[in-house]
Amino acid sequence: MRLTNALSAPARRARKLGTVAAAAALLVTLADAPQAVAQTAAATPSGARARAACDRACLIEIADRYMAALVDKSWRDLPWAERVRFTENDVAMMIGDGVWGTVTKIDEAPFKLADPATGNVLWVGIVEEHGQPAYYAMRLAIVDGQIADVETVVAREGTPAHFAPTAGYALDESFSETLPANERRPRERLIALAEGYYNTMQLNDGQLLGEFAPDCKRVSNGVDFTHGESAPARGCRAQFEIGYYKPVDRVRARRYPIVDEERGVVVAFAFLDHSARFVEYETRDGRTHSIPVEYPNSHRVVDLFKIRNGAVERVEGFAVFQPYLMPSLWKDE
Amino acid sequence: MSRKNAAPKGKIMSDLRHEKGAEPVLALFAAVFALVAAPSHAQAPGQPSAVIRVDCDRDCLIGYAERYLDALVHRDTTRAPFARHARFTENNVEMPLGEGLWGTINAVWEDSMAIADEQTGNVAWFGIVEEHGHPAYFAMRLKVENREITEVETIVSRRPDMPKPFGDPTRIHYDPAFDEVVPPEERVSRERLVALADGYFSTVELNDGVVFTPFHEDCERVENGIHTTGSGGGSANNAASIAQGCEEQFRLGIYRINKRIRERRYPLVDEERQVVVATGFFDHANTFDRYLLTDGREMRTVLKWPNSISLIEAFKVKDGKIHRIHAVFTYVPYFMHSPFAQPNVDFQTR
Repeated sequence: MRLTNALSAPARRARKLGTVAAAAALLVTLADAPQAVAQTAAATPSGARARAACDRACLIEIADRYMAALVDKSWRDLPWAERVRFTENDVAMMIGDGVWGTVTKIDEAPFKLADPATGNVLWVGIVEEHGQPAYYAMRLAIVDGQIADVETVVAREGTPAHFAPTAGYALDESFSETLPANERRPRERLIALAEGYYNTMQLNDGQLLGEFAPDCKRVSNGVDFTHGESAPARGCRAQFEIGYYKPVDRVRARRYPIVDEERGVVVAFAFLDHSARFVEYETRDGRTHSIPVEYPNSHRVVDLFKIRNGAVERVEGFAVFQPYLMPSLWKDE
Repeated sequence: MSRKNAAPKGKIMSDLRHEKGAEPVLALFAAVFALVAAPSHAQAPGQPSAVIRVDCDRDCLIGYAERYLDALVHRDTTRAPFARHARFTENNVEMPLGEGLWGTINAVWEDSMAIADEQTGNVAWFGIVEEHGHPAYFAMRLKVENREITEVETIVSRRPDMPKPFGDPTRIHYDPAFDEVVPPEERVSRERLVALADGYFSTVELNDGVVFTPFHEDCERVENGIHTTGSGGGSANNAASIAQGCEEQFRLGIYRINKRIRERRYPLVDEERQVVVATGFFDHANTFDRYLLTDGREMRTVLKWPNSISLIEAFKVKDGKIHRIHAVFTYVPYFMHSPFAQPNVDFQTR
């Protein structure tokens, strides 16, 4: 993926506010301070309301504006809802804090996916913080054309989580591909198939609880888990059949806020909990494996599922190393 | 160095003989009576009674810490007296007792340091635990009420993690100064002890050379087993390689990356020993990745992205000045909140 900085971002606008106007804007901001605490689903847009307010192009345009503002550190100009909820890696904070202080470049070729039915839009790609690249996944919820939710997940290098170099990374092209009508499935079924993947993964013992394409692939933080050199078996199904994911105690706090039936894509947010109660385990093929981190930890994940003909074909996403059992501030939608 | 493995220490039970509380039935009766008869709001805010009654003295409180550790190392929560709604956090995540470290621990090392506050019913313990044979720095705070453990707040600082001080656990040194009773004429009050620790945090915050608390000339600090203020500290990342001495480091502005020291709490004070135990978060917003010391030298940040460290830190005060600092800390997500802290809107800033 290519990166762009503030100076080259086409959406950047010249600063027009004088001192007085800026001060006035600040006072307004303080009076209507965005609420950063992600409390309940009460602010979740109803489908009808969201549809009426913002179609696919509108949602993606707001995501682009947000990212341009992020690199420009000019959040005040964005269309904020009256009550805004913002998290970075599952911590609620104020807009302007966190990544707003560190991002220096953003991907020029990100992947974006909008779901007008829920009013949610996804932006994933590479960002740089003071020159250091990180995987960045963000969900915005738009209500009446205004940003109500900002859920940011940033996977950085240098934590105990897996991390492949970002150079040349791009989400697989299949996620952009529109499926022929006969290969599509309804929203509910797509979510059930993603659920089946997670149900199979947690406490993985060989029992399959979902549908997997023959060569299903899993990529996380750029690491190929199913077809790489160290893969213990090729493909999601083969790995699940030997119980390779046994160290995942549970896949918790799952949400599916963005679904695209035409492309057969589901975007999932969840936690993988690793209690680390054992450090070695045997798979059903008789081989012994070690867990990567020998103390309790959780991974915040954002996974994109590509589902064709009723089977999971590809799971690609991002994982952030988190304290064990880190709670989600976002509720199901 | 000795280790406490599966066998509990013989002194654990004897420590509980220091209990001064009433018999359970009488205590229950007294509690019910109090609910009926006691005028409400006739105490100082936040106090259950206008007279502080010490039900559990220092040895008794430390006994609870030892019983907790005994239960922990046996992975058996029934071995310690928990209140029905006891709260437990590990690295600021609230979870059921029996989760987290309870599922991975295999040893608690004997060498350790305990601090107690009879007035608030809190006890802190600093030591080393092992998970699957890997040592980790461990600090905890227990709150004991009515002879039950009601709060357990723990920090477990493990490896692998992000770059942080992590000394050789076999060389950990607990300064005996934390155990020494200070003659009454040399003590300062509880309020002043808290103010001194708070001034320390204010000095760390936005550290630019301004010092908000007095440091003893022999002040030393140990963080995750590393002496970060004196010689013998070791690695190039250690502040001691840039300047030595608590005050000298702050005068130089080494710790400038701390945007705020947030959710500061002081749940334990031992006036006899002149010790304060604090908890809090150091927020590294990292909006800049290089900065100048007050002597003009340029520093570069190690991590380029927002992160916070969560700590439990003990301060020993001597002659009304900060003399010893002992901290255990670990990285947590930036701006993470402690379930034990009240949100403070003053810190909800950009």
